[in-house]
Amino acid sequence: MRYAGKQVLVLGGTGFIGGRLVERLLLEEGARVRVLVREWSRAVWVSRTTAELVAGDVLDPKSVALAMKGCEIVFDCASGPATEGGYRRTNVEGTRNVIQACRDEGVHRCVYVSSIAAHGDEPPEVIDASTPVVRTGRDYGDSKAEAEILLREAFNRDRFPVVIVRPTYVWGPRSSLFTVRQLMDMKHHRFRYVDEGCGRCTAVYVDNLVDVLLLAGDRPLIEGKSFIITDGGNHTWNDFFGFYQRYLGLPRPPSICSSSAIDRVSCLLLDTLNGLVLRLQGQPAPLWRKVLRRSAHEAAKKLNRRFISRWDLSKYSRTGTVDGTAARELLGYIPSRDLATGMQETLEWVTDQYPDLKDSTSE
Amino acid sequence: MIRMAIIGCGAITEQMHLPCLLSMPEVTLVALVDHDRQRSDELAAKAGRSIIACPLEALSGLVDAVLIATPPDVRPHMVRQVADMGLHMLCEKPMANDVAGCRDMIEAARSARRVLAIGHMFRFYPVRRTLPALLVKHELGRLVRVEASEGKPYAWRSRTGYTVLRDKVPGGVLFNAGIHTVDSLLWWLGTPSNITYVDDALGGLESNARITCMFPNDLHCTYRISRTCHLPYVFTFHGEAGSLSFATNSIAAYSVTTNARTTRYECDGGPKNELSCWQDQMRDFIDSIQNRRDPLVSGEEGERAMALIEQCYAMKRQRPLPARAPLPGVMW
Repeated sequence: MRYAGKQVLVLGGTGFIGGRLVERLLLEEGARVRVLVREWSRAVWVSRTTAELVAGDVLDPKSVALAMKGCEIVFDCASGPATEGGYRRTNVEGTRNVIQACRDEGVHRCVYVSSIAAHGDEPPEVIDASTPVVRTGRDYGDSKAEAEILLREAFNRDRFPVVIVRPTYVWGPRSSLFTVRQLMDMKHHRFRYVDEGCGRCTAVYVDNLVDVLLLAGDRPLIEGKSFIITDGGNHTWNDFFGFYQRYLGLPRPPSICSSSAIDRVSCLLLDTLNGLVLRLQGQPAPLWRKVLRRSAHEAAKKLNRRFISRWDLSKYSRTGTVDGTAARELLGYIPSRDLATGMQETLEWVTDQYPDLKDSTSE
Repeated sequence: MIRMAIIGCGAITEQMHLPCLLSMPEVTLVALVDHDRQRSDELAAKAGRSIIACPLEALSGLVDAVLIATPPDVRPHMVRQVADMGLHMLCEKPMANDVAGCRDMIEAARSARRVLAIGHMFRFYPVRRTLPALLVKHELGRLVRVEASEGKPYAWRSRTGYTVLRDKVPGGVLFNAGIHTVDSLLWWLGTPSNITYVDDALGGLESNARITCMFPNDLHCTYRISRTCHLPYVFTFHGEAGSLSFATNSIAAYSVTTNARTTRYECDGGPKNELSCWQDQMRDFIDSIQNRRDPLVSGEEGERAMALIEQCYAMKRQRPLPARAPLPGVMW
């Protein structure tokens, strides 16, 4: 029990990754855990634990400072709401508040959960911990890249005790982006393989990621380091999504081609429409805005039945590798769950939490 | 005409109690009370008319009865205070955090000779009120099995967060939402035995729970509830000759399946929309005050539902926490 008796703050503890981290810190590590809660309705998962829940928001410096009182270790798993500017506010302005509060409180270690999205849509063939982050104009990736830059500046200035963990595509129980979404898309016949699923699957199972976070919060002499995390293994997306497909008992979904100009343009159009919908959000809205928003939404919905976003296209067609040497050598990270074990757990969770999913795949 | 105040100006007051009381000519809503004075001022202004926002102590002589819609942890103390002021009380569910609190409230009302009604308002839905008669009417034979389930990701915009805070409530989804179903099952079927209980709590409040039990006449019952996932909102009563089902939020609609054929029905008479059901609850409360009778859901009835939940939580407390974190939401 590396964390026995230690006071830990988890930001984003109501979410998918942070929530799992809280459960393991409490049950397996004996930590005392505090969680900052922005919306009470989102706390139903973490409220199952003995974590101390305090009301606040990373955008409110006072509530961050209050939540951090007496904490030795901070895990920042917060991410913004998917509204216009939401990611930027949480990931950039929120990170500023976190850095300041950590300094004021004399926190020993701040583990920041970034994302592979910080490398942009077209990352190099081989990504490792030293690959620089880039800004590409996409809200989420740019906000994570800027947060990393802030944290690195803080480290360079006064040895701010940050460790950056950059997970790839996080899947497992409670994953909406890499588990529930694909199962739902398959069920509703919206799922598309890219290049027949031959791209390299560099995803990471949530418990493997939490293993890394626990190591990153505890290992000495790794301040200022970044780690990029995958499950390891040599799998394709075909191997990965094949588990979902077999679980649902569906025939193989069709595939789109990353080198086809038509497919690429369609994906670009889908992104443009989705971006437009996001920009037109908010109330009150004049009639023209509502009409445009509705039209863009309907058009995107239709296009979404056959195509995917550019980000997904790039992700699923990529054949390059992710080099996790730094995590292995400096953290001693060896994935505890392989693809089959993680999938068994995930699909057990899906059966429990989505009991109708398999019965109604003919919809 | 009865003069009333609402104590507690949270989401349920804004969404249901306020529209209900303002729509009833037999009630004059006089005052709103909340520890957050700004909130009660805001709601009073929104409600219009001549409703005032005031502290609890100011209610004496001003009103005849109160509707208590505060978080449950403060209710026993509040009921004693209000009963001492000579006011009748309709109290939101769950009436208190434990059976001891329920008993305090019942005793406070009894010694002050005031009505204490509990807001298990689903009992005022016609399909639930008439269920025993419907089971007889459709000749389903002896009941052998009852199944109930309900669940969806929690989205209630609680102002105080008390439904997820361990220091405010003794339980999660079963206590907060499941108590309606527990109350209805006990009302229809009597006292259960052979109770088993599992949930997904890891030392905190459950978000998924399952109860199995036996009701009199060998009637087996299973009930599952969740606030993390979608489950069918349905009661199904299986008899030897067929089954009867209705959605847990159904007001009058139900269906009967016999010989592999399902037919939909509507209950005759009674309220047809949610607001009318809430108004019926209020009329029952007023009538019990005026005619000095017990309300449909008395304090004792509220205590009975709480006692079953407390029994379930006692089983939970006997199990040691797992050494490794189980899958989220999976009951153990």
